Amino acid sequence: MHIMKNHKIKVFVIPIIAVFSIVGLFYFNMWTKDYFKTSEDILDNIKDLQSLEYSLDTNLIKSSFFLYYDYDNIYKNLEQIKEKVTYLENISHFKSSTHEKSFEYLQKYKAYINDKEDKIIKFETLNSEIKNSTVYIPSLILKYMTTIDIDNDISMDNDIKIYTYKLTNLLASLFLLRNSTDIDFLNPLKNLETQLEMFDFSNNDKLAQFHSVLLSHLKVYIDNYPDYYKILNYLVNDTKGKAYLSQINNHFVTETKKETDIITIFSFGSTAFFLLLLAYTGYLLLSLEKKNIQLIKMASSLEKITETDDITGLPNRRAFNHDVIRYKNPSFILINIDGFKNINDFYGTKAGDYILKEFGNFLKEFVKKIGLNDAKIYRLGGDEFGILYENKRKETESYVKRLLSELENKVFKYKHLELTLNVSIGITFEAPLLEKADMVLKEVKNRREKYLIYSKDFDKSVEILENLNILDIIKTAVKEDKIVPFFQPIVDNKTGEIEKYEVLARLETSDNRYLSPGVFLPIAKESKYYRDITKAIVRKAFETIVEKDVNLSINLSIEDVLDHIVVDYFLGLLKDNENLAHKVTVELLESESIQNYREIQKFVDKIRQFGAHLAIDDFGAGYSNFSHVVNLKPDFVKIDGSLIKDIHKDPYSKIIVSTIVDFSKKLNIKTVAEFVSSVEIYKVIRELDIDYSQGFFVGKPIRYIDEYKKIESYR
Amino acid sequence: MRLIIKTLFVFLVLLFSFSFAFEPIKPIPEHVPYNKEKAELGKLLFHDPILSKDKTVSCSTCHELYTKWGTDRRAVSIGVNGKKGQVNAPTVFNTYFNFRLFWNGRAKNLFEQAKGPLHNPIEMAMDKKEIEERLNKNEYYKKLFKKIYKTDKIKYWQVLDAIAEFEKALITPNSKFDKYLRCKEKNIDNPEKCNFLLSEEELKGYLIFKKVGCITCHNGINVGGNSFQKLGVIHEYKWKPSNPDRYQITKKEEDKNVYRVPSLRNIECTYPYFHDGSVKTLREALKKMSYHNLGFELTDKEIDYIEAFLKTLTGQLPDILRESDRAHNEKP
Repeated sequence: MHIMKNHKIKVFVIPIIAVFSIVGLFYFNMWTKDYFKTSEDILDNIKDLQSLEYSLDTNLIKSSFFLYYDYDNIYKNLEQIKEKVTYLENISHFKSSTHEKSFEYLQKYKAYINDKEDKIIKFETLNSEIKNSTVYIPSLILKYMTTIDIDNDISMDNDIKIYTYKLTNLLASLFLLRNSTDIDFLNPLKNLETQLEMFDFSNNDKLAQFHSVLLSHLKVYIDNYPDYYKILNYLVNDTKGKAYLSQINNHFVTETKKETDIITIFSFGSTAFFLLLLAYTGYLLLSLEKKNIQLIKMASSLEKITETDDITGLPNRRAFNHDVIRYKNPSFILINIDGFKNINDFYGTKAGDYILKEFGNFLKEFVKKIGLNDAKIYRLGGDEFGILYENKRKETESYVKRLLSELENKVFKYKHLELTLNVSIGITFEAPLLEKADMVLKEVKNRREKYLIYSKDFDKSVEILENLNILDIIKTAVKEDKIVPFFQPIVDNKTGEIEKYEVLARLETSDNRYLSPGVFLPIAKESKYYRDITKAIVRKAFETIVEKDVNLSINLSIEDVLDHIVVDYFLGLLKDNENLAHKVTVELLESESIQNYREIQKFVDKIRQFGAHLAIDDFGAGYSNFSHVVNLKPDFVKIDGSLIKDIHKDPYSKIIVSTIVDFSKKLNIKTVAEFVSSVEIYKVIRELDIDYSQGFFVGKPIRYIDEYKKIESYR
Repeated sequence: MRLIIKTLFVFLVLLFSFSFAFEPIKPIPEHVPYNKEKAELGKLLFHDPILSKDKTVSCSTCHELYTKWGTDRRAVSIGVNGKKGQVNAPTVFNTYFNFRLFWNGRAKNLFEQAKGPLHNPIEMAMDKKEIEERLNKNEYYKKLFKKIYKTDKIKYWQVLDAIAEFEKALITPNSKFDKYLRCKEKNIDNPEKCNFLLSEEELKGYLIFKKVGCITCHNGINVGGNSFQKLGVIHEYKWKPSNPDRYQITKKEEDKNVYRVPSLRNIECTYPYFHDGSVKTLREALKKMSYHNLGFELTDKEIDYIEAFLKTLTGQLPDILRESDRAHNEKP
């Protein structure tokens, strides 16, 4: 149980872990996806920055090379760089400690770009000034050409000539400087400036003005060029920005690699964990299966235990119920040991148990002997055994006959005891086997047979019992006067003549069947109809005596005797037929419940006064209080059927019966044997000197006495 | 000999000319993307004197949009309580394309720029708190701001944001010169095909504009507005401490009289000229500029041509002004 509980917990915990790990993996996957997307985005932006850097360089070079250039391009470029830097700065992933290094370089780059912007602004100012002069100087010199009018001014003096040469020189030098962007060419320009400054055109206003403007432009060149050159050099050749960017890129890549390593390890780890879980689940399932098999084994052995009878070692009723479903065409023999109770009572349960065991062995040997190898033997109750096998219906009756005859010769020995056993057998081929066989067995006992085979007829009485309200039947029967007497002859053993008849109550059903008292009397006893039944039988008995002039033995129970109304009715009838009272015998059923002997004594005394006789029924059945019985001074004792039934083979019964007979003779009480069902029994009865016999051998109960008279005459 | 010299000169001049490769001026785009609702709100604020201390001055007082091309056509502007300023109000048209704002370029964008006049004691003389208070008292504004900014309380930055969005929309596309430039862009193999779009004078003016070097500073979409340059490279321009130049910011000697180059877009309409508004006509401005930055004054002929060219830079009024003026008329 403990192990099971443990497993149960594990079985619950593992799916939970599995669910968590699946959710975990899902989030991990999402996170990784997001992570790679962000990383890619950052790298893309760094790449963009690198290309923007180059594009900015190009734009700066263009703006210096072309005489005029759209500065918008430069600022647009700068704005794009700054936007990208801000964008990168605001990515939270980039700000994490993992990317500390690359982020630091981004900050450096940002500072660098801000500084560069200032330089560019400054550069464009210088650039414009220089280019302005570059553009204007040629225009200015063209202006000079018109001023001096080379073609017409014949009096071009030496100064002008030299000045013109110098101007040509100046143009060439400017051209060189501008196109080479080599500061070495600035010095010749400076020299030229010094030389040009020495010219004095104070005599010519126009020339003087030109000269001063030219010098101013030249000055713009000379003053600004070093700064311009320096800044241009810096902007174009400085690799710091690109270095920063590649640092950002490289650091970011290595940092990311570290992170992805962790991710790889983690995903490997989690996959391994997942597989481990799977393996463990498999292991658990296997061990669970193993335990299941063990459990099944245990259960089956337990079943065996519970399905085995301790005493005989035979399978029990539970096993029978278990097995019976598997049979397709079952044959079932139900065996009841008669009077087994007496064995227990007289010799003790040990003896009883031993007998049961031996009987079981006897049955086992028997089926083996007759070749019913597949037959199973069950102990189904206290003294009930069953034989169950497939098919062989036709042979079953012969099996049973053989069983009975073998049992007759079988002596069971226990210590110094030697016993033979009598059995009643019910046979059935119909399901439910046990119920049907039980029913048959009851009928066997009722009819005092050895065995019977189940047929549909057995069902009828049961059906009525089961399906109809028996009380209703009783009520109807009483109302319609359907309680009728049956008569069973009692024969004088000396003469063989019918001495008298016992009156037996029957209930006649609407379909003209007769129910025996065993069916309706127990229920009737609990109702008010019991009295009516007794009265009806008594009345009809008296009528019969009057009509047929026969002796009758009428059964009265203790309850009847204690019922004043019944007693008064009975005594009234005796009184009315005083002359016939001597033909009446009251058969009193002794039972444990007799407490008020005085009442009974009174009743007995009264009937004696009329000349009626008293018989004690079922004498020797185990309850008899001899002293009470003797005090009642009965005329007859009827020896209990159970003692008679097997008297021809059961020495024990014989001893008891002979004792009863002896004792009765001494008290001058006549003895009656009932259940005399065979000639063997009859012989023993006569041998024992019992006065009267009653039973199927002597005569079955019948509705009308005339029938017997006919038989008798026929005999 | 003379011939040789002349040939040499011409050769050299031509050599320089070979460097003219790409068109240094770009046309104004016909549209810039902006948030219409926000710009309309900005338009309302732009015209509302509630934003000035004595409620007499709005942005539009100095930047009149419908007739005066984003200027007040005064030498210097007049602020709250009739106070006279020291600086000529530049046009607000096309300012979106300027790399810096104000004469000395101290603002980097329109949002930053809008703060300037609002807080200037001689312009609108307001502070952040008062602007918020005044606007939050106004249910109409509250409704409009809530619609756009999803907030119950109007914030200062939202005011600036709306005004900046409106100013972004103030572009003047489709000038005669832009049409000429677009044509040239389309016919890159045969740009001369487009010459019919400009008159001979205008074409000559553009050539001179480039030849004498104006173009070195006045280039880009706005024909200026994309660099800081000195006024008086050759002949010094008189410097005063009140001049709104770079020196005010850097305190470097070299930055005296260095200004953000003004845009020449719509220049014929945005007189008077210069940072101090001291120049009333375009001709005079051209003369002064050439004197101070070239050394020689341009000839009348040259000025005629350049002026003709400059006048082709006048574009259309912005769409946002030409469209229904409901918001303006329904002033709260």
